[in-house]
Amino acid sequence: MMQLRNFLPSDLPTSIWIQRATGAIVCLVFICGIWWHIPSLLGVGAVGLVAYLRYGWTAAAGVSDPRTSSLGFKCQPRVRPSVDREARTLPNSKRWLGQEELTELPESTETLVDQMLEMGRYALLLRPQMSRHLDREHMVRAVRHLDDAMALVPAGRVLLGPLAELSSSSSGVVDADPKRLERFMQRVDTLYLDRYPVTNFEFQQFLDAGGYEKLEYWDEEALPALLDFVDQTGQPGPRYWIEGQFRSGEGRRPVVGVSWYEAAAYGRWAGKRLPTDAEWTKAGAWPVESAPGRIAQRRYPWGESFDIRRANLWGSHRQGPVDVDDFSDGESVGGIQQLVGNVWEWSASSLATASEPSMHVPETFKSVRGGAFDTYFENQATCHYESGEHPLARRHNIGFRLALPMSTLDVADDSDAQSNGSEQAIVQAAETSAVETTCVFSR
Amino acid sequence: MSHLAQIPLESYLLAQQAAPIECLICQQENCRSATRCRFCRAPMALAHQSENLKHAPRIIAVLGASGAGKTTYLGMLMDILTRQVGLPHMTARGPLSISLQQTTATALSTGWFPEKTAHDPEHWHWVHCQFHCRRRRKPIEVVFADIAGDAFAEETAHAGRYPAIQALLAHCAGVIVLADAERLKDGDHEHDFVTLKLLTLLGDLREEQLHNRRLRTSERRPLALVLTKADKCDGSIEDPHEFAEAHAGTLLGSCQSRFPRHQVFSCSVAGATAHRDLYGSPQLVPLRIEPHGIVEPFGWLVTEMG
Repeated sequence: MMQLRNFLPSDLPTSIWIQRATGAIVCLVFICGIWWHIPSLLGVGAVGLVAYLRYGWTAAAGVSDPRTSSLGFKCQPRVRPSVDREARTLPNSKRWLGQEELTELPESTETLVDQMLEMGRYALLLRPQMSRHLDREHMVRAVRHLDDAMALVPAGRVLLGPLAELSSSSSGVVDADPKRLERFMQRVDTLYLDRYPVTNFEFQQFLDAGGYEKLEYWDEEALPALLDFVDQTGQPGPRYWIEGQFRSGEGRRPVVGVSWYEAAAYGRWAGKRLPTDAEWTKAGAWPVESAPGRIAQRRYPWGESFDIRRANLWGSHRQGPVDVDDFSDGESVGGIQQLVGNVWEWSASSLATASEPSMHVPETFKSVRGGAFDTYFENQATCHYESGEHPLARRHNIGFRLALPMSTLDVADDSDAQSNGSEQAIVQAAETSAVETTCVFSR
Repeated sequence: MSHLAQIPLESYLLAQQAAPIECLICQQENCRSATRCRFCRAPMALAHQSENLKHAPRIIAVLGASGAGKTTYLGMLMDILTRQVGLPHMTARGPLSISLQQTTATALSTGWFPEKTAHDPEHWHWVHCQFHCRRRRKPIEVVFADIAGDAFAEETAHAGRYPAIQALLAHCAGVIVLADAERLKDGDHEHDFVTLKLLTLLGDLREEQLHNRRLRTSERRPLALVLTKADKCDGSIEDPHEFAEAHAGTLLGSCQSRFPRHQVFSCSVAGATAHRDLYGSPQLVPLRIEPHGIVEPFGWLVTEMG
């Protein structure tokens, strides 16, 4: 065999040459059968040829099927006939954290940081595991991206549940028995919250990076359902996409048709997580506690009364989601857009724990917040109103935005202590960081 | 010894008897001061409102078993069409016609479904409205009623118990049949039979009418089969006809054979539902209101009624 290998071109493995030889022999038998009119030879040759063409050709040609993912998805070639041009502008190297990430390392730390920032994974760069490998300039760039994309929500207490709506009615102040109030109050630590819901374009990058195929991003209970998370053409992706691509012109629209698990997986990939009910409400209602037991919260992010020009609800007659930067007058005090209207947003909390005791909600239901373009009543799209949905549901009007707790960041880390790590080390750190997010999130 | 007494001649009372008014639904004569028809218990306000109209309002029969979602559908339809800025648009005639919308919208906005419609005909909601649509320059006058599903069932079992139902079926110009898509998907066809009986009754009354007038015309009335609660059955939203073929074959077949002009629609009002305790018993409540496909069946029906 070793001698034989010397005669073969070194770039193809022996197994492929054996398969090719088998193909040639089968052909020869078939031709001999025809030539000498021997039915047995003809039959054997034909069967062999059919078997070879059916199973052996792809391997013998030295081509593994690129359409079969590690999870067994049959993926069509990534043609984008009806897809936004902006999706094409993504660098080819963006797959670096996908299947071949460790074999296709970027040329330099600079390139690596560029790629991560382009993909919206700046949160990973700011984690202690990553930041120690980066210099000050890279950190500054990452922090700048963070500030552009996310708004700071200060620590404090927020009122949830039935009393929350009272805190925004009439006087705008709840002055209840402190003990009773305490039951519905929750403490929120300082966090960053996405200024906009996650867009189709952003989600495309997760999908292109092989996010649906990397099991570490997914909850264990979601794995059996993973093969059902497909688009209109059976490709992995949000429900209303086509051939693994969002529809033309919808790059800036919030991604919808994603289950709670898909939202959570995207969050892990991006180094963030879904906000809890308390965090989401804190960002929108912006509570002010003037004295213990005396708290005022906004009913809508912009104030107390509803204004149809500030949120995309049924009354806006848009009949579908709009771009995430539309209705900019409806931003919150902290500068977060579209907390109310356009699409419901998945929350990390369960509805059963958040709802009133008289409600019997399935335990699996996850909380959704903020109302959507087809929410009919304004009072069901306040900062305090909570609805729910099954975590596997992929509805046309449910999207999500992500949160990033301040405690997970390493922005104040001493840059002198940073070591100039290799790209390999950074990639590994990113991986570890993403997996750690998973662990934290699962807890 | 006789005394002379002056008794005022209440001529207006005599006039009322002399010029009776016909009930719009059963077309029986009633005293002008009556608030409800003495035969079918339909409100006489409908007759008064349409008295001066050039054309009598078109009556739409909304049929469906108990729990199919008739009250929610009709109340939501009214609320959407009256809130709508452009066309199509609806204008209610008389305060009576607004009560269905009021009951439904109030309940839904506070996180409840409207209460079940009572058996008693006096508690049924009657609506007389003007429907403005793109295809017609002039608005079309329409009358429909929210009748208890149990009353339909009772009427099919004991004909004549509710004269208003018989009259409504006999005089309607279009039919909306509501069927619960969730029940159909679960294979529960018990409620189909009530609807099937109503469709049979509808056909029989029509034939009787034509026979009395010695006419021989084919059925021209349009019928909209609406699959309600479609939010719980994905397939019914994407292709209602296919869903009906798969899960409501008998009902669809009956509609097809009796009403050549028919169309299948799907609609939903709540985005998700849960249960809530009310005096110890769990009640189904909406978690959010996201109406879909409410206007389309009605718009199609009115257009087809010509």
